[in-house]
Amino acid sequence: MTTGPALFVRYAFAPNRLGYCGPADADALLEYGALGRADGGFRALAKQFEGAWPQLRLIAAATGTADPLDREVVEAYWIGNRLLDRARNARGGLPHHSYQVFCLYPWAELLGDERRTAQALRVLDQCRIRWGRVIADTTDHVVVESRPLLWDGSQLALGPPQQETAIRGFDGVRLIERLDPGDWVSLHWEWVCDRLTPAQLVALRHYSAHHLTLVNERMAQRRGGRAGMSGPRIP
Amino acid sequence: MCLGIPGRVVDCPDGADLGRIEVAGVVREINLSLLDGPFVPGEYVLIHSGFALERMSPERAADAMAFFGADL
Repeated sequence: MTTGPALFVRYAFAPNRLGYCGPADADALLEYGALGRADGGFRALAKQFEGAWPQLRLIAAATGTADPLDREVVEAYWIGNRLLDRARNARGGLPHHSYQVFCLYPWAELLGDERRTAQALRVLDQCRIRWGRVIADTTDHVVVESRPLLWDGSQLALGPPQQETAIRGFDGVRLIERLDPGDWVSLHWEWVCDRLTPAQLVALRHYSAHHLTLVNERMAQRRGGRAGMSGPRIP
Repeated sequence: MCLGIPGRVVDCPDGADLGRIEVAGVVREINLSLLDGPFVPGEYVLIHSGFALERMSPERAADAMAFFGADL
């Protein structure tokens, strides 16, 4: 079974390689991911993911798990599992990656700004953990059918299935083994992260939908609040 | 995953979407198209997921970098 550190790398590597978060040395992260080791060096790298690390600690603390890099804790944050239900916050959010993407990051608020809508939607879609079904695996790339996010001007929702090509490896380096047509996989930015079990697929859909509902409710409340404001209009 | 982090403009050709920005000591290509240019080398922007989202004063950038445990 994949270790917690190796699982962490499968999901964290893509944004790290893009330079969006975590340590500057993506190769070191990749090396640890391939080895699945969790020594002090890896822990120091993982702590530099300033968004993910506090969430792993929160899940570990709420569930009495000693190690934030425990496999089940890491799975809870990126994919979702029963541990999350013991770590709910007062505003209905769970320490799942989709909560950060949809409800904490600035991008959902930028959807209403026409100049920023397209980029905001792309970031929300690529930054969340997506799921898709494998059509073909060509070694370094995988053709996947997935459902991208859509924005209708007031709500975010999943659109109809579309094919996309994702990266499974490069220069002989791969974090997951060969995939078969029909496999369900998780995706982060332009990379395939992992093959999903049926239970993981259900969990990822469930927790993503929970936070999609939450962000839609919050955006509707904000619109309602703005529409309901009274008093003199300041030019 | 990632919080917004300040970056210092190294250069950005007029009209270009991408500029070179120093982020925590590493120079990266960052998309500046969501803000109005021109951008002056040395000024600070708040970066999230490869995009500059707002301009920052040097004081605010310093405060944010202190949060991350880094120097400007």
